[in-house]
Amino acid sequence: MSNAVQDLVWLIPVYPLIAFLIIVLGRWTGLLKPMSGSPFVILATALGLIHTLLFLGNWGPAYTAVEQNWTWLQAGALQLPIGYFIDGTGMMMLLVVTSVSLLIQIYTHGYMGHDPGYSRFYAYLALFNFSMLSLVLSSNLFQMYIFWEMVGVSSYLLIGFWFTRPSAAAAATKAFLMNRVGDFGLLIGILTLLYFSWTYWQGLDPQQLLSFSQMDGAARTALAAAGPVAFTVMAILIFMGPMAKSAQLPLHTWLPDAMEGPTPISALIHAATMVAAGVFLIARMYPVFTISPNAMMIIAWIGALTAFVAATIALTQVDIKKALAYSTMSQLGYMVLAMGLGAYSAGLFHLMTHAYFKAMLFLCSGSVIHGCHEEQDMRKMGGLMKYMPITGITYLIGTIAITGVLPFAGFWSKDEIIASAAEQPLLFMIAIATAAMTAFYMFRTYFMTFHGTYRGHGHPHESPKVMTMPLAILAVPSVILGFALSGFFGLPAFSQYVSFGHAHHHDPNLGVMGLSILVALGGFLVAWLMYGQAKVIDPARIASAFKPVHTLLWNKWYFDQAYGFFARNIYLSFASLSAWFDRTVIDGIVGLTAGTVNASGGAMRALQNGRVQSYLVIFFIAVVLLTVVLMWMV
Amino acid sequence: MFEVGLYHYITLAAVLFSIGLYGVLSSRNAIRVLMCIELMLNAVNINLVAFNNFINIEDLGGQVFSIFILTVSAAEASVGLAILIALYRSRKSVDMERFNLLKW
Repeated sequence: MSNAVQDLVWLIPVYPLIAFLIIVLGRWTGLLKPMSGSPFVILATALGLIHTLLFLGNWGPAYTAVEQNWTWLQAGALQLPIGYFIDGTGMMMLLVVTSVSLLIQIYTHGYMGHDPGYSRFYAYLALFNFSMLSLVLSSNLFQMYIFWEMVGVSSYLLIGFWFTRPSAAAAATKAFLMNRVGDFGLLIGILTLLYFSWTYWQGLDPQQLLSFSQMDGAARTALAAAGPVAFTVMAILIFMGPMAKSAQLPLHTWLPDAMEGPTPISALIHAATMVAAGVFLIARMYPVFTISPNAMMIIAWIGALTAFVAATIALTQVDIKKALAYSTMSQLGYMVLAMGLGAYSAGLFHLMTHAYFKAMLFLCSGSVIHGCHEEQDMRKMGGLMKYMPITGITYLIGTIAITGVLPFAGFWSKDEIIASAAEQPLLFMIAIATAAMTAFYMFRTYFMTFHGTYRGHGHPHESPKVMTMPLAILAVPSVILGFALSGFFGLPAFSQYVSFGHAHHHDPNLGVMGLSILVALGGFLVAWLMYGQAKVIDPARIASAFKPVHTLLWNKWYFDQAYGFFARNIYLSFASLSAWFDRTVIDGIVGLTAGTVNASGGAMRALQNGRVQSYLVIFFIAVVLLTVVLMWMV
Repeated sequence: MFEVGLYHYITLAAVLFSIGLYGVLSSRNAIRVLMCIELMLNAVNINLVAFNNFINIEDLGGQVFSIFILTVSAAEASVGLAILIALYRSRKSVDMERFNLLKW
């Protein structure tokens, strides 16, 4: 039994693939009715979850990595393998992806129930699940890159799901292009790594080419071959992939726009799973990053700055989904910061807890949007606790969890990250400031949405059970998961299962814990004073008092404008220069060749006039010439 | 005393050939072209017979050859005239300028 479960673990991504094919072929042949197909997808995901749990239960020998490779294709000396590789990190991702997707797919039935694209949506969800689970199971970097692109495609399809809206189509294109920039860096990084570590792979079984289990030796070989500077550049190129996928500065602007997609997608792809794939790739490539201190420092700084910048932007957002999107970006910044600081377990622990509570928060926002007749502007909400209590309470739980208040999930994971930054004062200060802002903006969204009086139109209503049930289930891990894996009071520690190298357990840093709770409470207090029942401080007055800062944040640090400026002025002039070069020089050469042929054809055309007599003239001239030549030669 | 030699025959043949060639290349009437071809062939015949007579009288190869050419040119003239008649039936003309279908 256990062996079958283990040997057939590659089936986990195949279930959703089959569901995807059933819907596509069923709709194509007309065997499936327009508003159907969801049971296949939900069943496939449930099977995946059960398979994962069975694997976890029968994992033997316990928590040692399982790897299996096959040859995928062979080109000369190069053999590309395909396979699966499961260790603690991979298992954690499998659990997160299958469980969160299952709940979100159930929720989707309520949210998209009246959308004409219901079947298509479920087909895309299944395609995404297939890609994401394959990415998680990938045993080598090439394979991961393929599925990395496939999750990008699924994300593109789902952001642009309502493709008749110009803004959704534009957001999908933007996400795709931004990710192309990062993926291009990643591809060059992979090839550079392969180039520098080629001798190492030559000494191994060809089926292990670029496999994660052998990455350690490869990284050392590459470092020796490339030297520290080139190696750091290579590591940063690889990091460009996660930079785009996990919405890190400066490739982050696609994520807030991706909120054009349906809310279940925002929860599944753009909060819980796909954006975390960047952090997962960093974890898989950790042997490469750890031996380059400069690369680690750059990663840590990018993570910290992303966390900070995103949190400041979230302070002024009025769209509930955009606020949550910036919050996601900020939390991803925390994870990347942890990875850069060497706090491998802490970063992935935050990934796990964040996946649950952020998915829940997004689903809550979806429930709110659904209940308020597709309204996303928080200024037109308020007082919803009375109308939608389940959504309100779960949103409050998520808010407390992300804020990092004892004993909710976010506290344990975020606190570990902040504690690991303790040795670097500047990063530590940024992390603490971000924690304070997180508390403020999350409670701001909570108060604006659920407290006060209703400011919108119509009558808000609680969502159906099919939507509130997943919320209630997601609330459980959001509350207990951090504590259950904290390692205190005899409970198992997350780092026991997911760690890089030796599992080492940190002693609790009580000072940091106290400080982070203190700033969280401070953020909450300010939010309560500004947006709570009391309304002691008027937000508009604060905004006008700090006018330049507010304008900066309102415009999202002018990133989009800067990219627009870059695209319009610098990029476009460069593009038109190369277009000119293409049209005049390249096309000129081609045109010259064609023109020469054409002109010589025109000259020769006079010879073929169809008159026998003129042919005869040429014929006789040729005979005479030939005779002369022959006479001269003899 | 004026003696008729090889060079006279060759000159006559050359003159005949040139007249024929000129006629072939410049005539607009197809029948005249056909007649000029005959002229050229006869110039060749004169050459063959003259060379045979003056260089090697024992071997009759040149004379036999000229008879072959006469035969072939008779056949050729009949076929050529038949083609011309067919052409005239379709074109109502024997003008060489209008026989330009070889262009396509």
